[in-house]
Amino acid sequence: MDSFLKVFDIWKFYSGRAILKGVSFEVGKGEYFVVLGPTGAGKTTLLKILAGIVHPDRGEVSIGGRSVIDVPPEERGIGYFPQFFNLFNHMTVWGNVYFPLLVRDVDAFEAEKICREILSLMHLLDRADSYPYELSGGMRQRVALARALATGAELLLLDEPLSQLDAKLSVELRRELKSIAKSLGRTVVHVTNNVEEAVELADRIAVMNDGCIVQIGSYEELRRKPRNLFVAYFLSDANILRVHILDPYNRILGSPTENCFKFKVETLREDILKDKGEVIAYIDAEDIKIDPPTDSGWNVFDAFVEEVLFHRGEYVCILKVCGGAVKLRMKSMDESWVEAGLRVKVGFKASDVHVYDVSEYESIPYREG
Amino acid sequence: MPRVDVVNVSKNFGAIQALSRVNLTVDDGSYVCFLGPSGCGKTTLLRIIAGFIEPDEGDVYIDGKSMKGIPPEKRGIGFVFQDIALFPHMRIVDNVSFGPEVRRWSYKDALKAALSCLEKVRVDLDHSIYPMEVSGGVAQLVSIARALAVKSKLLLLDEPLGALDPKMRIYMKYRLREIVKSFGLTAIHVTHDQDEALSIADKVVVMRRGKIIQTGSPKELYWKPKSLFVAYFVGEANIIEVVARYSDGSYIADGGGFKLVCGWVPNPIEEGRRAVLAVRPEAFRIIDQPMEKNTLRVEVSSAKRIGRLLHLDILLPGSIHVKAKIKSDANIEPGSKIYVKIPEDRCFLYPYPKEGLEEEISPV
Repeated sequence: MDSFLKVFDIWKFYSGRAILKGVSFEVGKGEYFVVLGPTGAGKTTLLKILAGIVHPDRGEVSIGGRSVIDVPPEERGIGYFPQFFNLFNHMTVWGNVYFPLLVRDVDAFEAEKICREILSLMHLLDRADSYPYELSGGMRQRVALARALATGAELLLLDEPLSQLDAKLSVELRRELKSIAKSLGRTVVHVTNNVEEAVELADRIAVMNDGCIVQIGSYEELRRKPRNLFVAYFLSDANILRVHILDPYNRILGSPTENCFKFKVETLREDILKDKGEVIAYIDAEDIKIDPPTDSGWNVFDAFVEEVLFHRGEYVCILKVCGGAVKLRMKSMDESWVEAGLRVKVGFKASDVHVYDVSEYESIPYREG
Repeated sequence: MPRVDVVNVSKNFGAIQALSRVNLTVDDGSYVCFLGPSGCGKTTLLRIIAGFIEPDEGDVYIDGKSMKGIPPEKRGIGFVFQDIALFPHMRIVDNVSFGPEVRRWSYKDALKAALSCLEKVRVDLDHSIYPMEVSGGVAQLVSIARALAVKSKLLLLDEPLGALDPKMRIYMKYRLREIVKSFGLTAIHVTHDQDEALSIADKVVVMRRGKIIQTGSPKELYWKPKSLFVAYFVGEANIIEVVARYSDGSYIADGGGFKLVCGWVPNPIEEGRRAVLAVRPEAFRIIDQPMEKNTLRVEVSSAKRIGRLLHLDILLPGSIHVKAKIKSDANIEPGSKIYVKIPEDRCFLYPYPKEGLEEEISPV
């Protein structure tokens, strides 16, 4: 795919603190690219730099093969949707979408055509004569999106475009957004802190934390081969355990104090193995199983089911292992018969444990305990 | 040990009817969520229980005692706001000890209570810092500690996780439930987010347009929705227009190209009438042989793997698009044909809504 947007080594400092620390990536023409990360990762600043509202301290941005670093926002050929948008309250829905086209010297006949097309795509045509205050939050959001789409810009920059909506509406609009962007052939950079949103929308996801892009890939790639603990943690429902290497040669990890919690892992990185100290073991909640097979690839424990919580069509079980010294979270679709209070066997495969250096624990924003 | 009874409560704001004849019991020690779209009346109901708003009609009982004329501060409640209403000019610890102090405890006792409550909610940081220096999640834990400090046993939470980012929201919702359960509190939690409600509540109260539509455990709401609205609003559902058939004591959804036996039909439907079939994405199973009942041969139009789950777009016979989430390690390519089974009790059938389908499922 041809790169339509190129971003190279962007740095930005605010009062001496680095907000962006050398961000680089490329987005192909027509690609839906999602920048995903927690609050404070620098996502909005990055988007504002792409839009030309904020000037980077260092780095290069090019759109469609043209360097835009010294080009003002209105000449960059972008449609920008800020996190907190404003509609023109004295104008109708039609006016809100039509007016920016006129400002851009689009001829009136053409503007009318575009306006009609976009409003119909966004299911807003029958509300064209309404004023913003007559609309629900979801409708207003649609109008703002319609306005960004109508500019005809090839590159759309969307900052949390769905975050101000009711959960249900947000999911519905999410689906429309992607199909509209694709059908119009637009290139999109979409910023969000919502994993589900990213999964549904993105062709590729860039995971961002603390001013850096940690990893770029399709959701599946990120999930299968997370570069570090942060990516693994952010994209899935994780059990993150602080354990010790008890026996480096047989690759046994466990608690140094609780004799009953020991487990085998398949591979240990050389550099971690040498230390023989504390490490982080990461086990996806989906990789934990009740009544596991008894072959040697599995680590098996006696557990007490503390709670069974519902999650969509799935179940999340909170399991106490070792008399409660260790708590594991299990996610499953099948075990609908499991009830709180039961004693069960649980297990996970040695090959499903990922081991990280203990220093990576610091990259996790919300730690248990 | 609080139990809450809401009896025949109505409330109007001018011409708008915010609540109309609402009846509800919240059992002692339970975690209850009020769930509904914006404007459904859930926050109004919470505020009436808190005593911030007087109902036009009806009454609220806490532990059997009428709350008529009793101000919020005398109801033994702790209220947690969406926008995290800590006093910004007070240190964390003073925010928590403020309640006891106002109730004329000695400073020493108030401080002791504050520290013990901060420990209970596991806020493990320097208590002499100010609210602006902590994250939103921690600030919410502090506001819960503040409620606990005045010995509130009834926690009223108004979109308590609304201001937090999604990952923090997941972490915090489990923490909230853990706190409520381990200290024997009763909690009423208002949210518009069905994932949030379903994953932490013992009982979910679904509201719409000032009325309670259905009350039940998360599992009941998910697998036994009494109305098309609940089927659609709570979780996800594929909505398909069909014709209802009735034979051998079972209802059958006739979609033209396919027929499915429906095991969940909460309202009777006449034979041959227009009806609506609702099927949750999680209801589908992949099978090898088409021997069983309710099995369809379908074409996969797109497939996406999310962890252990396959998210599929499939075409039912008659070119009807549906979404399915299936737990499978199999690799399924777009364009391939597979057999799927939808168990009878996972096929929901409803009469075609009088006001039209759009109106019935509109999330407003």
